Amino acid sequence: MTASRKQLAVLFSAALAVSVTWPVFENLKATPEDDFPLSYFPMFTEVRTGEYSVQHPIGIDQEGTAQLINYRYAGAGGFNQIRRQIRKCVKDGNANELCARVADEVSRKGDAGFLRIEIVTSTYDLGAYYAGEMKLLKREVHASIPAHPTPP
Amino acid sequence: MNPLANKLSSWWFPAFPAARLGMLRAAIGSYSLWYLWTRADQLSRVGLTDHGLFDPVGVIHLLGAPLAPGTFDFIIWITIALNVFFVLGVGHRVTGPLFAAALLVTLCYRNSWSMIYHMHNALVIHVLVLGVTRAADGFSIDAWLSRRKSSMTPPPGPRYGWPVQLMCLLTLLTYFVSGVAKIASPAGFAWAKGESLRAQIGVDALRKEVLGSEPGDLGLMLFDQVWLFTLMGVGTLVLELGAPFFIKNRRLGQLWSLATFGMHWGIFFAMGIRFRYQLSGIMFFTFFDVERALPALRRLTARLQWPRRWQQRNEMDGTCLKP
Repeated sequence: MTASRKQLAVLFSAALAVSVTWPVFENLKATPEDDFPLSYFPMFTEVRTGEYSVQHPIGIDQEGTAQLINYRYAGAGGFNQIRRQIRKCVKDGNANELCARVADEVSRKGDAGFLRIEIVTSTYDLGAYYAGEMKLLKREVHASIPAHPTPP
Repeated sequence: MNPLANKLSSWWFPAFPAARLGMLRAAIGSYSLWYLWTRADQLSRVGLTDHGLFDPVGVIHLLGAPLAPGTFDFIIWITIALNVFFVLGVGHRVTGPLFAAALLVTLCYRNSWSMIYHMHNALVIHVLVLGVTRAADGFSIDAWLSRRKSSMTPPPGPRYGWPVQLMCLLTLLTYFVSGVAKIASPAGFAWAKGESLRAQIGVDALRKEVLGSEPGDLGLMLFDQVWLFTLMGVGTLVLELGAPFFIKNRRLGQLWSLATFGMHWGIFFAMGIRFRYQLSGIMFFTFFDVERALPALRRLTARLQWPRRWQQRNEMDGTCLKP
């Protein structure tokens, strides 16, 4: 391997090493931004205490009981991707459109029995959950539409 | 050259066999091929997501708007085709860089819809290194064709060593960056106590339950064992913040690999999170002398009694044929 090729290899290596390490500076920003493939890897860094709120779809059945609806009815992709998409829809004020999409999917897949489909934010008591109980503290409804009749 | 520069040079440019880099290319390429092939439909559906959720990352920043679904489908299938060439090592000088670029675009686009998955950062970086280096001088169709002409296999050399060192260093640096994010969080060094990790496991299980996914059973089972989470927290920080020090020599790197591999399986059992590239173990192959598996592979192909001529050619691999 010639000296000039070695120099090129060192330059290439240094450029990649600096690029991969550079995102650490995101930690100094007030609102750090993640990227791909050069990430600052923010997962597992949030401090969680007391309560936890999650945005999700529910179906209201004939008895008026709220039933959980699987995340796959709300979008395409993996679990965390769809979870974030639901959150973004609520945040951006697009819960009605999302609710209509979920209602379409529920109807298309033949899951009958719901009177209404809703997009909600549910807040749970984390301490109670750790102790084995799903304790719902509050539920805010962002969108609510009648469920479509299931096609024959 | 002064002694320090000499030492650094021999550390960064070790004489590795071409077969090692070739096998890394084949193994890492096979992983990406498996991933892309089995998820082609899912990737394609991601392209149909509501445009309001488009949040570009990486090279996709260059696009002003989402691609037409047909265009993304085309990119996915071109990437898969290039991936096949990459695994086989066909026309690597052209197909290698093209595949690296195609995989970067495909995975950046896949992550441009409000959620960044962190399991494939290292994959993209590894493929980039393999794509632009001489990763098909051994264990490839290119090498096989070249041997037919010259009857020579390239001797071990630094040109096959530094890309492996670079992949190891980049892997370690990604973990270092991840460790810094943990101590830069509001928890600071107290993250090591394991409370953040424990709370994260609880929150992860809760939202999976609410949204209809499967929470990791082990995490909830062990939830009251606070000491265990402290052990995991300390271990994680040691592996992440200490990662750059494990580049010092191969043995340390191998030790780190095994511990980190175990950590990812722990995350999987506790939280149900699949860091697939890491869980497969292939990400850590760069730390090992993977070409040592070649004789076993040859014995396996011999046992399968494949056509004799193919066997004979394979038996010559790695040796210099005399005229």
